Amino acid sequence: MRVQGFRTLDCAHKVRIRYFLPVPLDRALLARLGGDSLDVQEFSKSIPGASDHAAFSKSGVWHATCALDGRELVVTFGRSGPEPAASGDPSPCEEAIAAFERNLRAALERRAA
Amino acid sequence: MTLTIPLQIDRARRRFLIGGEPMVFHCHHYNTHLQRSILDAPWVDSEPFLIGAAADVAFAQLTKVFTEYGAASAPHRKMIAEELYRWCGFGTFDLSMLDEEGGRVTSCNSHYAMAWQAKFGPLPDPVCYFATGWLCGALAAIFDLPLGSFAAEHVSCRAGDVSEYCAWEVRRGVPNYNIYRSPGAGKTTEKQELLEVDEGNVDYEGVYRALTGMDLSGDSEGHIPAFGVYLTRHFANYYARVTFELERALIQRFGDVGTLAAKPLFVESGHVCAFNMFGGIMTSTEWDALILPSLETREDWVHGLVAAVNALGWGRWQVAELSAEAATFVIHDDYESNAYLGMYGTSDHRVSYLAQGAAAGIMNLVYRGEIESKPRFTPDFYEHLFKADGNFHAEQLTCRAMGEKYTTVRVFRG
Repeated sequence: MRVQGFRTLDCAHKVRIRYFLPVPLDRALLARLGGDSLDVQEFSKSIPGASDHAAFSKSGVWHATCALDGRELVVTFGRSGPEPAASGDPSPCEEAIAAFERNLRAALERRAA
Repeated sequence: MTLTIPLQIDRARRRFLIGGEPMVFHCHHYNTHLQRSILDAPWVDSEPFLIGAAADVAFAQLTKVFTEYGAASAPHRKMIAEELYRWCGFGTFDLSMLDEEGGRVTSCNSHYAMAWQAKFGPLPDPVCYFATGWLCGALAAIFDLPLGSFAAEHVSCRAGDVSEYCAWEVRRGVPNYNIYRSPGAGKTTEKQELLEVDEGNVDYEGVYRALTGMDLSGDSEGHIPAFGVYLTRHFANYYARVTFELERALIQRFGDVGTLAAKPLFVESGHVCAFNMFGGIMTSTEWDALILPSLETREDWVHGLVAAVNALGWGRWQVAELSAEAATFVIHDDYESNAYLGMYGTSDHRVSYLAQGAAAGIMNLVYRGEIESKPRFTPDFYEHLFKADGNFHAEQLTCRAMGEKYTTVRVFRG
């Protein structure tokens, strides 16, 4: 399953990635992304036709939002770290991104199975 | 201890109040641009009112909040003050080491320091005027002392890229800022006289209900990341005071020409606010979930955004006229007018500068910005929307601060 991601920096120089998924986002998929908190706004109860909205995070590592049943996931990661050390270790931010994307791939593969 | 924030939602007037102070959402772009515009104004010593305006609103709010909670001890009051500061998105403070004589306090996550460095880069001078004033007002309220009992020096600032934290030295003594008396809720309408208007396909009431039900409060670092920006639940009276004190200083020096000099500064700050905050709202996942499903026409995008604006605490906006070429916005209880009336009485000129800039911003984003494509909000894009030929301009036609029923802003292509 192919996921497109567009990386920018937010106003506080935190890495923000917009992911475009091949399947709709639902609570089951979100639960597999490694977060430790989830807040769902039931907008569908306020306005007919509206979708619910999810904000979830892994404390201190990343914060994500999406419209449930939509296909766009916006994730903001911790502040960009310093240049990689001479040993080639990635910065903490890049490690967080890699971990998140591993979980995302695994969740999508499980959905496809 | 978990604190229940004493947030009062004035639904009839589309406002929020805490401790009698009207609170409005604004983003870090507006906060820093407005402050820089004020600091850059020549011949005006703005520090006394940048600090004094904050001391005033903090003192007024916390005095009332302490009474509402029945908080009598200094430790309890400090906890309340810290929690409210964090909740509003200003950063965090630990006030425990401060006593009736003052002391030293630090913060590693001050909103203004973070915002300034992100937006403008490092600056050698401290930038957290609001926090400086807030400390002075808060301490006076905590220890049952009159406003103006403390002076404060912002001795180091994280925006300078040298220190990892901001630090203040607060001491009892002659205040190094102006003393004001907050107008509190200001002069509001007794009852808004709403117009019969076309609202397109947008459920204004539903959007208001949904957005005011969201938890938009400071995280553990005292930041509110939302809609792609960093929000603050800030004091309407702070914005009004620093804006109008600069204007009055320019008028005092240059006469009526002072108003002509001040207006573009404040309207431009409104443009910056609209570009970043409204742009962030309209490209957010919250918009995709709540508002986008209702939108069928380009005009609906304007209605959707105005419905969201009504949840910012800015007063109630209505769209009285709308086309691809022009629009008329009617604003009931705009916070600028309410504050002006409460602070200075009836104005002899129109003062809803933020409203003018924001209204022009709405039209530029929707009709020139291809906002549905979720563009990146770059400096070049800002120049294209607000400086290029064919952009929208705003003209204020009526103003509550001049004694009229409501404020009217007309927007048209230049």
